[in-house]
Amino acid sequence: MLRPAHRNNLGPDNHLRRPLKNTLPLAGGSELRSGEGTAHPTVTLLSSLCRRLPRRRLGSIPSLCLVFAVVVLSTSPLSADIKPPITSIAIDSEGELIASVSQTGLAISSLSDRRLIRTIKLQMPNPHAVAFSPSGKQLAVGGGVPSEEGTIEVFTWPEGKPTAKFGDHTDSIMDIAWLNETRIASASLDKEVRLWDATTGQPKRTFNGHSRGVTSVRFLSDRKTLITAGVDQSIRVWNVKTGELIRSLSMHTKPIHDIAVRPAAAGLPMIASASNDRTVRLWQPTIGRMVRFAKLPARPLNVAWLPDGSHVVASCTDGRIYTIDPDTVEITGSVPAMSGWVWAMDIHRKTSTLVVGGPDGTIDLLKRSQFTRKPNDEQ
Amino acid sequence: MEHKFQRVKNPVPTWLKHAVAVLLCLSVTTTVSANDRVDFRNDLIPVFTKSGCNAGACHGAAIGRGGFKLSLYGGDPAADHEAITQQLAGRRVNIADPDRSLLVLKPTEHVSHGGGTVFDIESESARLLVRWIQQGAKLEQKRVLQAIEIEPKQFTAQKLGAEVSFKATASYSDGSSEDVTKWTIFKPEDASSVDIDETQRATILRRGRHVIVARFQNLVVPVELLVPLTDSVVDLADEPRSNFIDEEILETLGTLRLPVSGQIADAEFIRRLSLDLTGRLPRTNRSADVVLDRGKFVDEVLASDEFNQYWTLQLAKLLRIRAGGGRGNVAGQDAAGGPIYHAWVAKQLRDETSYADMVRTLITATGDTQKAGPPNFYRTSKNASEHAEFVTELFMGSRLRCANCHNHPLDRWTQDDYHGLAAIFAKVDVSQIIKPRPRGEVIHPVTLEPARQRIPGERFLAKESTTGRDEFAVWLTSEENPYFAKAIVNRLWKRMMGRGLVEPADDFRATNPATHPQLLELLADDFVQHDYNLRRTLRLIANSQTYARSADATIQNKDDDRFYSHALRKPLEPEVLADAIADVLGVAESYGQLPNGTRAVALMNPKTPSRTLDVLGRCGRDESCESGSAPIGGLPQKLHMFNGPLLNDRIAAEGSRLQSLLKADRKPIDIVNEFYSVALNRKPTDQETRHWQSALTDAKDKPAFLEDFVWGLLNSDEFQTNH
Repeated sequence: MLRPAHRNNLGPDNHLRRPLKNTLPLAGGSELRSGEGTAHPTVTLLSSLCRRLPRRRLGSIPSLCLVFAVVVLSTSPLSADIKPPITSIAIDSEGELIASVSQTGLAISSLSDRRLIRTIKLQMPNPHAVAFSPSGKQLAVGGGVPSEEGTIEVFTWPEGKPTAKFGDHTDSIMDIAWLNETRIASASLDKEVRLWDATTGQPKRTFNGHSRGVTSVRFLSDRKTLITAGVDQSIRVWNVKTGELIRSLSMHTKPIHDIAVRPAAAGLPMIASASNDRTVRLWQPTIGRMVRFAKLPARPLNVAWLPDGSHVVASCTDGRIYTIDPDTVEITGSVPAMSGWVWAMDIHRKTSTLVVGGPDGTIDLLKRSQFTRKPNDEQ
Repeated sequence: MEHKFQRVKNPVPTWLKHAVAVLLCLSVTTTVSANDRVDFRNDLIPVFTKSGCNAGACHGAAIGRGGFKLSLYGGDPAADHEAITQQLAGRRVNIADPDRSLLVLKPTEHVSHGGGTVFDIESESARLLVRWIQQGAKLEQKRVLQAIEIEPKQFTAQKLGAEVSFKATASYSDGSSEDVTKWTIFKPEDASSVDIDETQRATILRRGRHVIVARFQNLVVPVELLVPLTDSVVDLADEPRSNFIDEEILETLGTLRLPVSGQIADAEFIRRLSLDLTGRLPRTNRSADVVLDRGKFVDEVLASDEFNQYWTLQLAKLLRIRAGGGRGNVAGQDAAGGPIYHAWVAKQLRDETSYADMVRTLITATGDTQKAGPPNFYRTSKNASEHAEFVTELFMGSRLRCANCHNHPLDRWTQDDYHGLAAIFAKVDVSQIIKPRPRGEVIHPVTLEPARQRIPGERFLAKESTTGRDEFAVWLTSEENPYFAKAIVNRLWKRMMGRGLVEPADDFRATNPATHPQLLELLADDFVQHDYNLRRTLRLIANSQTYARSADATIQNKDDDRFYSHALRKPLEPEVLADAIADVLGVAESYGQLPNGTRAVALMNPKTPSRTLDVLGRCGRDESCESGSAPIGGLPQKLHMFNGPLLNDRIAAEGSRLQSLLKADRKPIDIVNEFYSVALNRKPTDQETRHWQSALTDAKDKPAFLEDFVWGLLNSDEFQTNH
């Protein structure tokens, strides 16, 4: 009964990884699947059957049949409105396009109006992370098959041409981070962090130490230090070159979801971490010090810095975006972004526009003036 | 027939036909879709429970399993929904391709699963999961479960091997009901007594009364199966009855076909009652020739100082009164407060204060712990949460502590109840001066916010309420409270009869039913009607024929350990045994710096230095002194009694009873008789007399022989138990 493990067997050759059903061809070879705005397959099938009925002989029956199909569409539990949540989102280096991933695949949308431009088929059913390379010419998606494998798929940008697929993690990759154009790190629920050659797919280093799944990975700007965080409530600091664990930071009391490195700051590097313990903590990882923390009204899922490093932004389970002053750990902004958990977030490097993704595949944009609004300013 | 095929003139307009058809379509599809929707709480939680996914041994464990945690038995559906659909970026459900969801692949073991194959991919359980994910994996709930009814709820079989099939029917808030038998778990409390197959059919394997717990969602219902303990019909119609206690006990015995043992003689009754009510051996100046007026004797004992002293000890144990703690994290009254608290309890008992008034005073107490007794009540536990556990176990007989980490799996208590009551006690400043602390709070582990004050199982209090203790005290001691009176009368019953009607005495819940539910109700009602008078209930029990039943079991009732067909032998508790040994030997025990001759039952502090009480297994009162947490005696006690100085150094000590009798040149057989009288409150039987006379005649060193005799007497089961 138990299917053997097949870590390196990444092809769609078994019944669990059969090609996704109900895909409709789009121009350019991309595919749009059910759950992305089309009719549900049941309805599609029913409509198709209705259309084939001989109208001349059956009079109004085909029409009624079509009406029935429409009614099914509107009332059936298998409604087309059901979409999986956006799990990760990234703005390209030009600041014009958004790459987002969900269980339906990789979607490319326009940043200005959120219009879906195209989708790119992924081999993994559960993508969890999307990231552009430093040059912006490559796009990587990390994810995998839950409890089975963790993989990375790399594409050229903006062409979207697949160039590599690799990964031998034994569970999903939850986060990825580019070191440079040829090196990418992955954080997996199999407790391991790995550094890969993104062109050959060869593993270059493994960072072992987390006692439970790893959920976030980032490089410091010195490119010599790797920071990871995970379900074991710890943040770990690693030497990229040797793979040595430099220190472990343990102040969080619940799993950590995300970490973010403060950009362009003088002095010691600083990171922010978001945890289920409802805190965003600020650390100086190179000296192992927790500087201060902010307690939020809800659990933060993602954390990011404004490009000028002046504030930390956190997206939370209450659907709100909170802005935190890192010096006073005061919550300086709080706005609702969506109904439900805000799973994904990225900030435009030039305009500081915030892009958030969440339940039902929704993507939303907030200008800096909107999400840094003080709680009391809310209407 | 032909006209049927004729074309109808003036047909209904086509547009109307279409409209009707559309409306029909609408109504049909809407109905179908509503009925087909999978309700997470009502449809899926039972799947998880039935499959064991949310049991304590699996993902229902406090820390979950394999990184996936479900609430125990689905007690918190919202948290379960979050764990399934949201945690780790929602990886457990695949909305785009439901068949690929980890939630489906794991239990069907299409992916390696520590729990093995739980159900088949083609099973109804798997299909339900997939359908739910197809529908968007929402938490929505169509209806609220109101009750679960099990048929039959009680079943009496006439022979072993009898079978009974159960049916479970769930009732919902929308007025609907549904047969949920296949999703209901039926679990016998003793798996060796009842076998239950996959079709929910029970086969009774052992005689007696067996309880099966039926669980559907978060509701549990006890089901009782009964097979008489003997095959012969027992006629108890002529058995004497003193009060409703006897009526209830005999009715149950009749159902179980259990014959009763006979009544004890006056001498045994006196010893039994004295030990139960005063904790000491009876005085021996009562003539054996005069028939005892038992009712009058009971009244005399209840009015005695010895009763007050001994039952102060009983209450002190329940209240965990002790001295020497009270600093830092060490709980307990301090050296000054303990004696004051103890004296206050003694006074309440002496004054026959209503138990309800006493408890109200304790719960609402304020003031200086070194000047008044009741404030010391708040120096019992280390913190507000422990105090909530202590209070509910003591005054409600309920183990609320299970609800600290998760909703109680076998009772109604939720985490809101636990932390809500703790929040009430958190608003008490427990330093030397007990006073309100309005800003006190405890953090609810689920919300990570200060817990809202709550009367357990009842209602939340206003957010800033400063009268939480008052409201709790009023609710607790009201006549309608279903726990308060029953909890204390059950304890009184246990002290007198050796076993609680509900056992353990601090574990009242629907799934741990009383052996005699009606009797417990009647005792509680009587207690309430008589102003919560402890003596009243003790008198009722002492005057019953049931209490006076012999401890000598018959062949037919020897296996009965809970239906009171014969009296249960109760080991003497450490303080009582220490005093009894001292009384029989005539050598007083010393306790710390206290005057020689101080009785163990009079000690206020369980930490008072005493090797004897340590050996005998006294309870330190840091935790509950009830059964389970502080077993009395055991092997160490036996070994010390056999070989240690507890007896060997004292039997022939200077000034001992034996030495005095030997010095007075009493006949050896008289000495034997006197020790029988003092220790057992009876004369030796003829057979025993013959035995001792013969042995004494053969003994070369009679004093040494008598020392051995006393040693043997004090090590006998008859001495060391109340029977």
